[in-house]
Order: sequence, then structure tokens, then C-alpha cells
Amino acid sequence: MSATALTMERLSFAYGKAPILAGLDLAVAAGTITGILGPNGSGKTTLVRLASAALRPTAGRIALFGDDLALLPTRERARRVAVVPQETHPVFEFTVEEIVRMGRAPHLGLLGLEAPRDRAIAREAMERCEVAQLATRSFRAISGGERQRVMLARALTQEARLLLLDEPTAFLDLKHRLAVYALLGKLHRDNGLTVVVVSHDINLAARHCDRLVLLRCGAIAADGTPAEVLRPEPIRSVYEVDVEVRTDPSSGRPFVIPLTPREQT
Amino acid sequence: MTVFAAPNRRVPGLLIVGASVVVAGAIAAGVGSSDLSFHDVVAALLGGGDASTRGIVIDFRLARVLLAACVGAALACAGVSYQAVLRNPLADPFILGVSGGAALGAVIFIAVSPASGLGGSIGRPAAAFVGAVLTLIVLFALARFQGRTETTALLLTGVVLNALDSAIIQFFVSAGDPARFQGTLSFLMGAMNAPSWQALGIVAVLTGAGIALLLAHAHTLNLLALGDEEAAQLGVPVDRATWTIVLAASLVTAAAVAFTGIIGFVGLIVPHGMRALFGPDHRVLLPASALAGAATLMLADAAARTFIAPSELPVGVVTALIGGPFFLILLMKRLRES
Amino acid sequence: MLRAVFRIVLLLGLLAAAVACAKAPAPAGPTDAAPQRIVSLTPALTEILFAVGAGDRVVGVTQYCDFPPAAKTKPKVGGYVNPSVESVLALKPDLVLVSPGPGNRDSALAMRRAGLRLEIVPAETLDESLAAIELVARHAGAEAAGRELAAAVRARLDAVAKRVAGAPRVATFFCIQTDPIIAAGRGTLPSQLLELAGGSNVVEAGRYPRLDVEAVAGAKPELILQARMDLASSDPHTEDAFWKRWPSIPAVARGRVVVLPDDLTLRPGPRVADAAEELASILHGETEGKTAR
Repeated sequence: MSATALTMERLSFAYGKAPILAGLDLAVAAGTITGILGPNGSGKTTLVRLASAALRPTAGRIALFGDDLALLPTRERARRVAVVPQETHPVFEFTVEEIVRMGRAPHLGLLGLEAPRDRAIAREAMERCEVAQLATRSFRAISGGERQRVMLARALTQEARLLLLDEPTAFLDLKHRLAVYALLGKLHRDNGLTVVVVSHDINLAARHCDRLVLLRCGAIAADGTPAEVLRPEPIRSVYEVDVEVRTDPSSGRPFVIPLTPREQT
Repeated sequence: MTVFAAPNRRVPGLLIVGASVVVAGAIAAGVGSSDLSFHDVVAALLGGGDASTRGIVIDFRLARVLLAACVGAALACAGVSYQAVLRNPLADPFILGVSGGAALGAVIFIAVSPASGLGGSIGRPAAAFVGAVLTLIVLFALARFQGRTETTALLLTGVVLNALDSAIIQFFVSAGDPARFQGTLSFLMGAMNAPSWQALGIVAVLTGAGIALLLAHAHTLNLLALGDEEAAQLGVPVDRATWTIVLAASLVTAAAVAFTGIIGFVGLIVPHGMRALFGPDHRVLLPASALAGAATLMLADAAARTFIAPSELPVGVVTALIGGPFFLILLMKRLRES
Repeated sequence: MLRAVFRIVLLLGLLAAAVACAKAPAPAGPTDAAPQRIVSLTPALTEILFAVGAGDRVVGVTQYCDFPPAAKTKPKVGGYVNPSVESVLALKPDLVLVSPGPGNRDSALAMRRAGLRLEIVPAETLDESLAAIELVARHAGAEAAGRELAAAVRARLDAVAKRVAGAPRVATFFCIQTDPIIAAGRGTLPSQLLELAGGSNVVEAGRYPRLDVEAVAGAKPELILQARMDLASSDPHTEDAFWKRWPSIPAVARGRVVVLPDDLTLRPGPRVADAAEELASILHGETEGKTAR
């Protein structure tokens, strides 16, 4: 496997007649944490869904650790990339531990029976994500923040080297947003995971990501470190909002403050 | 609730359910509309007693009890599988139109064949089975779209197919000779007639194979219950797995319906009951449901044979009378909890 | 909002009441002259009409009225479960005869409401069959013929009863169909014919109970009479094969399972005497005096 976790070449996708991405090129190095930003409709979610093979591109190629995504068998793909969705609603009352153990699916044998090693991996993942104490609780009964940590634990259990997250903090309050991103950062550092996270929260992304990719109308408008990308100009043409950018003293990263919307001239 | 959900309690729990199957079988074989004492029954089963008692106990009661066990296990497993694959706790084995197709097959057979002379007692079940399979093919053709299968499309197509089959059956019954369709109407309500050993063998093989296939996919059912996209992320070939499971569950249902007509509630209630005891992990839920389904239908059949003896009730009536209120109680419990 | 709804409901209620009170045309009653256009909605009643000489005045029958053969040439108005009101009205009958059965009640009453003369003649049991002969004959204006026919049938029935008087009763199971098993219970026509012909019905329940094989075996019949509801296409061998699976039943062990060659025993009407004679010869062997049909 190569040192590039994810490569997208001339990637295009359209829902029926409406094009979302047109000829996009992107390469994500292994071991980095990248934030994908952009307004609604810019194609960020589509990009992540294409990377996880939930969607098939209408043109172009995606490579996962060097291998063509379209040619990877389903289970092998699941062993390489894990997805943390925004929300999940299992129809039945699974416990937290059962949900986390499902992450072992791509590694299990014919009948889906778990070995002690599988159970140990799941336990460890729960401890890392600080949800071990919820093991026997019903997944549906815990809070949103706890659920996201459980989903992260499950993604860890998959032992995938690439982690994709689609607005993981969309429905969480401030405390839990901070907690999830902090956990993400920790996992990235400790496990050497490659993380690609789609985010609405510019400042949190700026604080935790090494690299930001700003999308507009299905194309890359800016790409680089948070300091390079988060400047008034790219932000104004992408988000149509005037902002002031300061430096956050505690992290040394840029901090975006939106100003009142620009008057139409 | 969920007494047996903990990992160390699952095996003991299954053993208890398994024991209940044996007990239910013993009760079912021990009762009937004639006056045989339990001693007579045991003697007959062991090869003793007079020929006529043996005839009743083995060729009639035992054959029926075994048929009930196979059909009960089949319907319960099919119910569990449909509920997972369709992500709908209200799904039952007949929801996708398989039962309608089987019933239609049987009705057409009765309408066009010289009584049951064609193929003997296997003719009508075979026609019912063919009807069910054809329905599955139509379902497959209609509910697929661009290589993906939306569960909503599956459900809706199933509902429409059921309605269509019902209408066509009504047409035949109204337009045809009432004398000829007497038997059909009771078949539709669930008729557990004592099967020939040949027929029983066929049912056992078909349901056994189907249940085995479903058991092999138990873990997949867990993953599918999370949602199509999540299951795909976890490495499940969702489209192929969904169709394999739907096929296995439908064939098992078709085999059951072909021989015993439409017996409701077993496929709906047993999964819920077992889920309340064992939790939603299908690796233990499926075998538990198979066992519980067998026990349930054996007891229901025993009740059908003895409730208004010497007359007998259609089994479907018994399952509805017991299953209906049971389901309402379950529903009220859920509403109160939420 | 609620008041408006209440007012609308009240208005609709008044309208419905007005419609209900509207007078329907009075149904026609019997007249002095004999009816010239008779419709029969039940095969048994059709048979009686022809037997008392009113056959040429019959203008409509059901599709199952197949006896006598002349009846088959008459215009059809539907089945006996669901006759067509419109077809009957179109024939402009001055008399409609019906025997109450499953499903024909609504159609029959609709015909009466439309102004036709409807006479209800029960004809399910043996006694009803005999009474029906005279009743139908009276409605059709052939009283004398009816009395004669009824007397003749009674005489033949009495003859049968006398013939079998000394012989021991044969414990019999009268089976209407095998899948599921439906028996003729006490008080039904087949059962009454059976009793008259020297048999005893092992089934104690009335009407047509559904039984399982075990119950039949427990009743230990010496003879099984198997009727076939759908004569045209059913295969006697199937019924035979069914009973052969249960040799523990005395009748089967002795080879005394008789699949009836016709449906006489299921037909109320003038041919009950033929049915009784047929049964007597099955139960007690051939005897003379069997009238040709």
C-alpha cells in the first residue's frame, strides 16, 4: 500500500442530469487529518460518499492506498476505510457493545462468530473512546454525544487506516462537539490514522486539521494549511460572507469571525 | 425482559427453548379428538399397542405434529429475517406477496385440473410453490432499480402483489363452482391436514435447507438492520445479501404455505417474543425463533384439534385468536415504555 | 367550526331519513291465474316445477339447474349462490321461487323490493323436500299434480323403510369432502336419507362439521359413504386413495368405502326417493323395486 491514502483523479459525479463534481483532483497523504469545507451543495458529502464507495463516479478514478476503489472487493474495502455517519438509527435495541462489535464484520469468518481477539479489540476501542462504561446500555437510549463516540469506537474496531466522517458533530451541543474533535485528534496522533472529515464548523476544523480543502460548486476553491485557506478572500467568494480572521492564541490556528452580510450593490 | 441476552445466558436460554419444543411435541402428540390415554400413546410410539392405535398416533398425530414443527420453525425464521431485511418490526412472512402467490397457484390448480387427480396429493402443493416462486420473480423484476433495491419499493410491490392475488382468487371463487372451491377457502385459512410421509419429507427438506441458509446469514441480518448504507460500509454486499435472504425466507414460507395454507401471527409474534427474551442479535435470535415457532405451532395445532372436539378448528383461527391479543399487549407495552 | 360540522351532519341525517321513508313499490301478491313466467333460483325447486308439469312455464333457472335435461335449455340467471337480479328482472317473471341459501338472500330481497312476486320455499332437509313439492305446486297453480307427486314419493320412502326394518343398523360415516374432512351431521339431508335406508350416523353433531381423521377413527364406522361435490371433474380414485391411508378405521379395513356414483343424496327435491333406494341397496344389498331415474 502506498503512502497516499486517498487519490481522486478527474472525478465527476452527477445525480441524473445535475452535475455535482466535475473533474476533481485530490490526493490525501497517509497519516494526515484533512478537513473538507464548503457551503451546502458544494459537493462535500458527495465527495465523502464517493470515497467510501457508497456512490459510483460517473467519470474518473479513486484509489484507496494505491488500489483502484472500483476493483476492491467489498470486505477488503471495509478493512481499509471506515465511515462515521452523521446519525444512525438501528431498528432494534442493540446494546453499545453489540454495535461496536459489528465493526469487526469485515474480519469475521463465514458464520459471523466472534473470537476472543475480536471481542478484545472491541473492548479496547470502547476504552479509547471512553464509552466502555456504556457497554451494556441500549444504543438508542444514550445521548447524541455518546452515540458519536460509540460510532468512532466502531470505526476503530474495523481496524481501517482511513477514517471518513461526514459532519460528525452536526447534531451535537458545544461540549460534545469539542469532545469529538479532541478524540479525533487523539486517535489520529496515537494510531496514525488518516482522517478526512467533512465539516460545517470552520473553526473546529481549523483547530484540529493539518489541511483544509475548500469546495465550491463541485470544484476545489482553496487547498492548503488552515492559515493558507482561511483568509477573507477565498471565504467571501465561497460562502458569500465577509469575515475577519484572527489567530486563536490557545492553538495558534486561524479563527474566523463572520461579519454582517454584505449589502447587494 | 431480555433475560437471555447476556452472552453467558444465551446457550442456557436456547436449551430451555429447545426443551419447550420437546414438551410441546409431547403434549401435541398426547392429545387428540379420540380417547387415547397417554400410556396408549407412548406404547404406540414405541411400537406396541394395537394396529389401529398405532395408525392414529403415528400416521396421524405424529405426522401432523412434525409438520407443525417444520412449518412453525419456517414461519418464525422467515418473520425474523423479513423484519431485519425490511427494517420493519411489523413485517410478517406474507408481506412480500409470497402467500398470495402460493394461494393463487393453488386456486388456479383447483380451477383447471381434474380435481386433485393430477399428481395426487402433491399436485396442489407443487402448484402453490410454483405460484410463490413466480411471485418472487415478479418482485425481483419490479423492485430492482439500477442494480439497487430500495426496501420501500420491495414493501410496496409486495402489498400490491398481495392485493392483486387476492382479487384474482376472489374472481375464480365467484365465477367458479362453489362446490369446487370449498376446500380452497379453508386452505386459505390454514389447514393442517395430516400429511403423507412423502409430503412431510419434502417439507422438512425445504424448510430445513432454507432455515440453514438463513442461519448462515444471521450476522448479516444484524448489519442490515443498521441500514443499507452502513451495512455496505461494514463490508456487506448489500444487494446480493438482501436478495439471498429474501429468497431463502420466501422459499421457506412458500413451502409452508403450499402445504398448510396461510397461518398468520406465528411469523409476527414469535420473533417479537424471542427478541424480548434474547435481544436483537440474530445469531441467537434466529435459532431461538425457529425453536419457539415449532413449539408454538405444535401447541396451536393441538388446540385446533381439541378445542371443539370432535370438530376441528382451522389452525389459522387459533393462531389469530391467541396471536392477536398477544400482539396488542406487546404494542401497549411498547407505547407505555416510550 | 364544530357547529358547522354539526349542522352538516344533521342535514345529512334528515336527508337520509327522508329517503328511507320514501315508499317503495308494493311487492306483487298472488293473483288468481296460474303464473305463466316462473323463475327458479334453486335447483331443487326447478326439479319440482318440471316434475309437476309446470316446466314449460319456467322462463329462467340457475346455471346449476341440470335436472331434468330440459331444464338445461332454459335461460340462465346466475348461480344459486349469487343469482343476478338484473337478469331476473329482464325476464319479467310473475313468480320467483327461491330456497334460502348462503348468499342469495340479498339478491332475492332485492327482487322483491323491485316489485316481483317472491315466494320462499325452504328445501334442505327431507321433510322440507316433501313439503316443498306441495308448496311449489300450489304457487305454480298445479296443486293436484303436487299432491300426487308428494304422495308417490312418500310411498316409496315408506317402502324403503319397511324393507330395511328388520336389518341391523349400519354405523356409517357420511363424508362430503376429504380436504378438509367435512361430514354430514345429524339432521342434514344425507343423514336423514341414511337413517331411512337403515344406517346410523356416527357423527353426533348437526349441520356439516369439519373433523380430523382421528375423530373419524374414534367413531368406528363400518361403512364410509363418500359424496363428491364436483362430479364433473372429480376423480373417485383420489377419495379412495385418501381413505386407504387409514386402515385403522373399521370401514377401511373391511373395504367398505363407497364413493357414491352420483349426487342424488345431496339433492333435496323429488328425487329423494331415488336417493333413499340407492343408499338402501348400498347398505343392505340389491333389492327389487328400484325405480329407473
